[in-house]
Amino acid sequence: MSKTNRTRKQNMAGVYFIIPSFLGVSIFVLFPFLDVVRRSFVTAVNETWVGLANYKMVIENSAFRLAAGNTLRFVGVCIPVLVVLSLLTAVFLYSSGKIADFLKSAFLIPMAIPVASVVLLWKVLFHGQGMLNGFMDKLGFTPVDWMNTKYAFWVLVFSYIWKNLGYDIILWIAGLSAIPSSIYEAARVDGAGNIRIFFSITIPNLLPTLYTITVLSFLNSFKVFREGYLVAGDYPHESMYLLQHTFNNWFRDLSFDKIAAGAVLVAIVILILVTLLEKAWNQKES
Amino acid sequence: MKILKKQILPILLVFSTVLLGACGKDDDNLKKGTSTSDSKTIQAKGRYLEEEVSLPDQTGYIMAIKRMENNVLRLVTDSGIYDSEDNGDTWSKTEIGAQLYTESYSVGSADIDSKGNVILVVYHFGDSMEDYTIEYHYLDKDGEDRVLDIELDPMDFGDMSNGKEGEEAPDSIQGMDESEDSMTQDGQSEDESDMDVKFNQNDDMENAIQTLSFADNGDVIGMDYNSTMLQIDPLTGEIKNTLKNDDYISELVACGNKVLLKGMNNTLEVYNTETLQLEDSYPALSDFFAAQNQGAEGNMNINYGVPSSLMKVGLKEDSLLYTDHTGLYQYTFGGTVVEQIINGTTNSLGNMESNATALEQLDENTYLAGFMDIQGGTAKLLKYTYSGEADSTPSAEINVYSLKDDQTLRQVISKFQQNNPDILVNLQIGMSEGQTLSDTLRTLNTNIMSGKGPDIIILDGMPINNYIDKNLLEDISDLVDDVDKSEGLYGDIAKAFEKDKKIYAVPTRFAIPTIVGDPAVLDGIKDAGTLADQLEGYPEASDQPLLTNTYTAKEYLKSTLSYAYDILKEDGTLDEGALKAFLEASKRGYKGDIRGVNPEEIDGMKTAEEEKDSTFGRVDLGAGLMTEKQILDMGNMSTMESYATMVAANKKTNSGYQTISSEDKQLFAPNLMAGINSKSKQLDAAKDFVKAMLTEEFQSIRVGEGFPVNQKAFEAICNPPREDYMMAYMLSDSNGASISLEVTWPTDDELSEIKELVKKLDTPLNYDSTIQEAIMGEGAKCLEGELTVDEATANILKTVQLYLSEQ
Amino acid sequence: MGKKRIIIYIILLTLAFVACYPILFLLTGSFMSQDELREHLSPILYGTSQYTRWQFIPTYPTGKSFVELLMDSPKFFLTFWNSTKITVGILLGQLVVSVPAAWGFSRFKFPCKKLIFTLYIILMMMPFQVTMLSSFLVLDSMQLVNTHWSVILPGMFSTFPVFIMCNFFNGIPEAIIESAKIDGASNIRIFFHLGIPLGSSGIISILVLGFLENWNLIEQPLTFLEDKALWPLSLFLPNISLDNAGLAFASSVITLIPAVLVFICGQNYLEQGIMATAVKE
Repeated sequence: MSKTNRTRKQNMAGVYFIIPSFLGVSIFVLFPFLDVVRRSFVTAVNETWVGLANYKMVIENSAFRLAAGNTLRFVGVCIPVLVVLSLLTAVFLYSSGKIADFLKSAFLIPMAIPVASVVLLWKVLFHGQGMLNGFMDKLGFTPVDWMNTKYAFWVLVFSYIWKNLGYDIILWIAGLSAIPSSIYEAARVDGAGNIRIFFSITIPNLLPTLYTITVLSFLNSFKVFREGYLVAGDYPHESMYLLQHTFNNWFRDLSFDKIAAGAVLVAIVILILVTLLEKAWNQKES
Repeated sequence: MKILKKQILPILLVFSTVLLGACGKDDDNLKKGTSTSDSKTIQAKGRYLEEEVSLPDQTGYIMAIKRMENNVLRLVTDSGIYDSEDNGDTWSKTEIGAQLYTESYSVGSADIDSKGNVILVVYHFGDSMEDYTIEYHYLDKDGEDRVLDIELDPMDFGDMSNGKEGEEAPDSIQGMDESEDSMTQDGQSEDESDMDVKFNQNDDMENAIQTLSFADNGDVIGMDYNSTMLQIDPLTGEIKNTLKNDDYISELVACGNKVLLKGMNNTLEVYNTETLQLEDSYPALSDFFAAQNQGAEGNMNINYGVPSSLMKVGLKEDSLLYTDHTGLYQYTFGGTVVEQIINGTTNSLGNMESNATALEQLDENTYLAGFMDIQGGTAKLLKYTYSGEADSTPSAEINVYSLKDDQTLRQVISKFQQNNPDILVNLQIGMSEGQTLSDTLRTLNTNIMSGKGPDIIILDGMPINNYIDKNLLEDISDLVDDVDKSEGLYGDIAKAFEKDKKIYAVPTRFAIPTIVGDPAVLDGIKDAGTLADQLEGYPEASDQPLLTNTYTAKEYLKSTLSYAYDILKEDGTLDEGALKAFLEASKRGYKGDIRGVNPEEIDGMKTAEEEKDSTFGRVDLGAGLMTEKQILDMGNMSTMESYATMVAANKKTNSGYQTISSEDKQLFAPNLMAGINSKSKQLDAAKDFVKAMLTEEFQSIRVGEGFPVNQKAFEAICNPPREDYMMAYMLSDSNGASISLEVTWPTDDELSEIKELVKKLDTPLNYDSTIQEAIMGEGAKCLEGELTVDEATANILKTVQLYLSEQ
Repeated sequence: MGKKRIIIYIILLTLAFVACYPILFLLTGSFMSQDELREHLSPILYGTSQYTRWQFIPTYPTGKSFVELLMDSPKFFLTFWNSTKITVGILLGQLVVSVPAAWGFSRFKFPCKKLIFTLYIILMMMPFQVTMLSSFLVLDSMQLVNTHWSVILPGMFSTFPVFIMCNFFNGIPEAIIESAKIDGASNIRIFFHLGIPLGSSGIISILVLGFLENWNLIEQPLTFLEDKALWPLSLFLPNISLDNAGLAFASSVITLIPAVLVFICGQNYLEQGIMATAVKE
């Protein structure tokens, strides 16, 4: 057999490995999604063709716009904050030995706590008459109705960071440990200070990690809806109102047409983002 | 440490998971016991014909039926003792016990043994109805009457009025304790209602036995007011043994050598009359009772807080019969299953307007049962005869979906099934504990979209206009018009949800928002603001809210929400100015309302309010004013009985009443709104059902709440449910003195008044539940001072806007 | 230098405490008696005056909630068993399906590979609400609704583990594979004898992550399982009112325990797994 044939055969073998997954994904994940795409062009209950009318409705829908804006804002705030915070912590912990291990575990534990339990605590803490306000009252500050004012947004951010900090710290530590110490030594020999080293060596070498962290953090940011919903219900304060709230409520109202159109729009945005990220990362690769 | 982590912990994990999982597996049986009754019982396969048997005299209450050794049937009712020699088809009055049916006696309960001896609990009256003693008579088969002298322990009040050790008292008693001016409405006959009422008021009441029945060995089993079971020798009156119970016993039955004690809190004890000891329980039976008392079936079996089931020994002494509104069942002691003999959905067993009071199995294929109409009045004797295997396939099967359980709906279904035995109607209750309305609606929607949705939807609490917009509901204009033409419907009410000349949802019941009080005060009240003026300006504050039952801000808002009607604009948005005005007025009003009330009491009420089941209408509208601590009462009037009560109370307190109107619109609250799922595969059967719901026969059902929207039916319910209708209510005021109210049926003039009133109602009060929740949630905070009016208004508007902007 | 370090430590320890506080909270609450709970929680639940107070140690510790939960609520065991069934089902399925798929994406080139992989990523990101109805219809047409399969099957085919494992497999040096190929090993042998052992920490990490994710599923069971008897632990007590507050705490603690145990056991592997996703070459 010629080399190209063998290679091609080899490569096609990869297909066999994928088939079970691909089949399952097609049936249970892809196919429903395609149905959603179809629904974006028809009415909700009777399913008559309406072309792009649903898209128009959704784009003009103020709730959707609010939710989209909030979601973008949330992602735009959370991810950088989380990334920076976890990076700093990771750098600090990287060289710290025993205590670092304990701290790492501590930060990771939030991931293990079931959502329902977390919600219990959030309710008790952040309620208008909850613990946090009680604490603040004692200290002489005026209490804030956390869940019913614009602070609700920050409660959500807090919840997200609390949950995902540990995860990202580990990722950073992994990335850090991949940087050969020889590079550092060389730089020190050249007389570079800590901060210089940090910005010129550490960060550039962590860019691959950054890609993964960003993607995963982005993914996890969607999951924060669950806590938000359990604590604040269908109609939380408007600063906390995310795309999933909209979809959830549209579902209750039988507005499947709007959900479908909205979903396709969201998918397109994600596609663009992911592609851009990948391009950026691949560029750095080479 | 590492070793611990790596090896021991995983083992621990797996072990505990397996252990817990195994426990889970074993409890599969328990799981079945707590779900619907169908999983544990065997369904009835046979079909039973029902026929009514006539009795020679007018009977109010059938107490006992027995097939005696000589195959003659004997019957004890409140009008005499009767025998039948032809297996129950005809009856003749006997001489036995004639003396107990004279003026100065009233028979309370009775039982018959196989020889024909009768044991009775009798009230012997002195000079007046209130002066009586309770006697226990043993009538032997020859008619000799012996009074038994049974020595009872004195009344033990400690347990009675407060419930035993933290357990809940049965509803009828609890109703009295709840607050000073709550009342019980008793569906039982007069004597009993007086009895129930009296023993909470009268501290030197004597202990007595409520019911007596025969055990197989000739002993008589009874239960006294202390919930103590007594085993008595009927020849001497000597108490052979007693058994004290931890639970309130709702039913006691002697079955062979056993006595079953069924408690209010689902306890079951089995006592053996020979060994004089308790036996081990019978799990199959306990599970069965638990299932019957739970969930949807359970609601059907509680009428006015009193369980409506009955037990009796069957043909053999180890066979137990049980009947409730789901049917007749049989259990053999020691067995593992309870078998359904007669399915109650297609005959009078399922009729919630009457309860079974006596039962006897005549032979393998025949049962005789006595029923009493719960509104009081007449009793019926019905015979059930086996007539072959039932066809298993109905011609059509339709599903009716309702968020909440509703007595009227159940009765409608039961009646429809009786009239159409070939159509199977299933009731699905949407809301269950722990689920939010949104979750329930989402589940409903997925079912609808996948084609498995209900055929008929009861739209109470649902976003009706949204469903209409999305073409979810079928056009039912023609069937509404049909009934309108043939019998007459209140047009404005029936067409409340008309859109573009088509009707997609029809209210089948309605209530009238009403305010009751001193006519001079009422004169000044037109809206929330003037109401507040009156409450603020009222010269004396009392230690109760001036507006009945509005201790908490939420209650206040709930009661006065009808005045918020003008907040809702045509296009579904809220009028900011009107909202603000309403909140401001409510804030003032609430302040004036509770100015004399102890704040701790209010706090206490808040916990209670969360757990209370909200009812649609008020049965005691106006009665609270009798305590003179309250000046106004507001609520929905939803039945003729509540109208009668209000009229009677008003006479006593010199009050008047007003229906709520907004500008010139007369408001009504629509209820039990029916619509048909346009995706239904049984459109014809569904249409038949909804049409039936609107006809007079179904509209004049008195079970549950809501005035009929059918004019003919309204006429029908203007007639009293029984002759000499009289209800007695008692409240105690804060000093403990009791006030009584006698309610008779309204006069013709008064009936005309309400008929005229109903004709004028034209505008439905139907708040979207999201909007209502927003107003009440933020509004309550505002009324309690947590938020300013502006803040609350802003919050409500924001939520509503968010909600509306999603549309 | 030392002082700065200590300050940072203190900050971090505080943060760590904040991170772990919820567990403490739940433990405390689960050992409180009904009355104490009422006292502490009524401001929140009913809006009565004052603020909620909470203590670190209950004044009158009692195991009553646990007893009630384990002895008197047969439903609890059932839901626990359901959770176990669902989670284990999904995890096993993911192993069987996703690991080979990741291997395929990682080590082979075939047409449309990039496309499919990107598709996988996008599907991974879609929130559940979007495909809720369509998934329901698909599952319904297969008559799987109201059975545990309706939750297990879609969960098993989640594309997230593929993504993680793929990154992991990418870290295996090509050289090792090459030499195996030269020795004449078939693709399958390479996968089983090289891929899996070398990727074992990755596999454990997707198991751990998968467990944590699926033990807490809420929307899927809520939508696809109508029969309450099939519900998992995560749906056991979503609403807290006074009479079930004690139960809510106790059940949260019990739900928590397996997750924490899994976590502790797998933490090292988890770390390694996470680390490997970050390192590409």
